[in-house]
Amino acid sequence: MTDRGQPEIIDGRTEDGEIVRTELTEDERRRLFEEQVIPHLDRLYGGALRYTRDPSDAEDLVQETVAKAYSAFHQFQQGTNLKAWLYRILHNTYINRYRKEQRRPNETLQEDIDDFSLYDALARDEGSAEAAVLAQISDDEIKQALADLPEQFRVAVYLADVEEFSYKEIAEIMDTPIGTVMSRLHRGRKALEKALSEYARRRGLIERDSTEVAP
Amino acid sequence: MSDKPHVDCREVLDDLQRYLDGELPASRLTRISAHLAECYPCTDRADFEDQLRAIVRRGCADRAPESLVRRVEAQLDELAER
Repeated sequence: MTDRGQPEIIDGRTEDGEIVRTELTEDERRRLFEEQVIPHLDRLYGGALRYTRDPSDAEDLVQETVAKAYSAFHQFQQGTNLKAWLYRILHNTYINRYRKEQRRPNETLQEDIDDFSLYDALARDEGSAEAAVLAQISDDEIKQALADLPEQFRVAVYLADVEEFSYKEIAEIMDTPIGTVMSRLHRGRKALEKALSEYARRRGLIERDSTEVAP
Repeated sequence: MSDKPHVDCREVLDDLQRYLDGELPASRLTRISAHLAECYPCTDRADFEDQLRAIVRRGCADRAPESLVRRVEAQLDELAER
């Protein structure tokens, strides 16, 4: 950190004389950024936790995301979806910084996952009301089930179900076609259902092995 | 499985993900909504899938720790002074 006392950027001009597009003073820019971005910190942290699956890495990822967002803030078009813009930065930061560290060999799901349905599995189980079983699944179990999904599925499900982004926004954040988003969501949710059915069975909420195929 | 109601239920299941995600085009939306209004099994199923999304949302409602908020504030101070 350089301590130069007064900021050197005045009247929307940077040190080299280039006019800042939004023509805000540094103070105004900082204020606007704080006002708009800080309220999203919880959501960014939640996302970072799903990406990294580690609280300390998640904090680093959010911090780096915020720093990048700050320096690119003049490029953000006011009035468009700020959270989607921030998530695009978070996603790219994660890809560049964290994912290259480990190549993941297993990024696919079982072939037969498309056929699994928790609803059907519960419906086959006598005496367990489907919705009542869901209500008993704990937050920790949900988090674990999501964390166990391969990255692309985990992120797609998180962006849709928790952040409630549209398919188009998810496609832009993950830099992938909408069709791929839909298929990742479909398969990711199925795999999540399967994991949850295992928890439910282990906890005795359902009796039968949910992997059994109905006769 | 050849009578009409079953075909409709199948169609609803095929469209259910997009319906619940709010991504179904208007042209199909009416058809699905109309079916759901009169078919209990499909409504039950749709409610279940919707609840599944809700528990994922509930389970991931994390809050940024105070330490992170302070780090971010400090970082902004530093960046703004550059």
